[in-house]
Amino acid sequence: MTHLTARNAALLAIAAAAAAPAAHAQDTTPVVLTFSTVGDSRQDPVKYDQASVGPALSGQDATWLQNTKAFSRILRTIQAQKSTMLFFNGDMIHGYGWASYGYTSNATQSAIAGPVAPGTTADIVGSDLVKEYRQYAFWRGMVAPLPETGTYVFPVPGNHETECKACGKNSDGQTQAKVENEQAYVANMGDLIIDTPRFTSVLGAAPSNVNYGPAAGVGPDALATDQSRLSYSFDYQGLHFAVINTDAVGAETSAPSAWLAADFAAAQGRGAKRFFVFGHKPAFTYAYAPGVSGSGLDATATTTAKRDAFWNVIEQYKATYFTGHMHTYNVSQPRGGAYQVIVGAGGSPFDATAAQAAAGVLAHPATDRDYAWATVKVHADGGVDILGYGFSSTFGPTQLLGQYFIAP
Amino acid sequence: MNKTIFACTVLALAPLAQAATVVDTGTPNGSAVGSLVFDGSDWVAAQVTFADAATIAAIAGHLLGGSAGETFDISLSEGGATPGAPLFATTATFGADGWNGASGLAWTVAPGSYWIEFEVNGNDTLGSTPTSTGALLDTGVAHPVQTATTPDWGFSYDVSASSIGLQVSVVPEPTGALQVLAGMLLLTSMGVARRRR
Repeated sequence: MTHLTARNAALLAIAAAAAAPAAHAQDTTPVVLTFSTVGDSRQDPVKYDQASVGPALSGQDATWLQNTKAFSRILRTIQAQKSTMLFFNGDMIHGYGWASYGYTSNATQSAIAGPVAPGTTADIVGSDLVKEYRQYAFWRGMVAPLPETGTYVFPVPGNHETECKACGKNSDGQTQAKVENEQAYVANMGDLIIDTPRFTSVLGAAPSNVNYGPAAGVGPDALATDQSRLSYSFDYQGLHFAVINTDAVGAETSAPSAWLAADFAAAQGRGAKRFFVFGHKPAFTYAYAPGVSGSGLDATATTTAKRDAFWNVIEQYKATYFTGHMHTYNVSQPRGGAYQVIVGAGGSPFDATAAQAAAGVLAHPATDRDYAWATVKVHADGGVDILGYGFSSTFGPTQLLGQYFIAP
Repeated sequence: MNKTIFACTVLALAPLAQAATVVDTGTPNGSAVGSLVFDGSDWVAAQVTFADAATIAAIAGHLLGGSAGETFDISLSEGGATPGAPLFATTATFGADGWNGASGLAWTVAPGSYWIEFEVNGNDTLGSTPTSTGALLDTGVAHPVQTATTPDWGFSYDVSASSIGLQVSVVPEPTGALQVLAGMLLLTSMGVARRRR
């Protein structure tokens, strides 16, 4: 080292010592697990966010209905952050049709024709069944590299996977789910739930106590259809992870609270230290602007009563609920205890519009229109860092949007 | 007299051994939230301008969230609206939250604008240890610098003002120091002449 080099090094060291900020790490015990979660990467063929993606969709995104630019960037950064798990909180496809034989929704999904036996190749290719399988395949292709580079992918069903927009509403005004859509979801995602050899090769140890979900009609949830692999759970390193279908057939816009309570009780009995839940619809709607009404599990009085039962379970076990559906980023403690983390900003058109941003009415203008996800770090002592990351609708630099700590 | 000349010489030559700071944004606020992610997927380039030819001695960015001993790259690229061809590069080592960078660089540049890039390349280790936030380029200075990031790994850049912390120092040009020395000697000789009268 030359004299000059030594002097500059000394100057840098002095500057570093003088300017070191207050430590932002609240838990200094080693991180034992890092996972990420995001939802809603599907694109909308009609109502895409022109302020973000431009006046027209690329041919690719118009065909396979993904926001490829935003979602692929999120995936790259999640890999760079060395997350070993990715929970995708639903709406990976635009879907919203009826993946049954002979049904075809129109372009805006305001009407559906069928069942009609297809008479031409175009009838087959244009059917809801083929379109949804095609969209699933594209999404699977996007996430396929992740397990090869150390990140196992867990899917969560959303309303765009299970529901049929043009098939009418149930008695509570909720869009109806279809069993064929649930079956299509399982056909396209079921291999991930849970591929123990792949999981083990990625994470180094196998999951345990895998619960493949409630069967039809079992328990107080009285589910109309088999929910195997639509809701599921497992243990890993003393942590318990549960995925729930918030739009099951006959139980749209609700969580399988009784199944979850029993599942949690069993996990707690095994010594689970932390509980993480992943579902599509938020338990509490985030009012990002004046006039925003319930679009989550608080959509109606009936669903809100069920939501309360669900949140009681969440709070009883000090669980954290990660969710999507709302195309934005928001972290809250709705009742002052358990966290709800909305990360439905994986590429779908933002709920908060560019016009609302321009009008200055957004609750959190810095982040409401950010593409965002959460990366969670679990420490050896049980402490949890929830880190919200994202980038602007105009694809600015990736930033740390928020940092939350759950004490051991 | 000899003591006076010696003292003046020391004073005049002192700048030769000191780097002169040409860019100092000030110290960011250390809040982490709002900082720029700095990992294998995200890099940041800051634009700097030199009025005269210079030899860059040290570059530091205000970083948070790495682990001691982890490495990252700092490079200098040709200027323009966005980063151009790379000119120099070096590997730096993260120490602790705060100013981190490289010194003893001796990167000679002509007058003009350049881009200083902070990157985590294939052989670098910054962020390989799971820390609480991952590595961040801290923000919150009063005087933002123009930065460029690439949103999609392509050839487009997002150029905007960012309040990252950046320090750049250069080796003073010898001619400048010699002029100071000559001036000091002249003043000293004039003082000696006055005393003799």
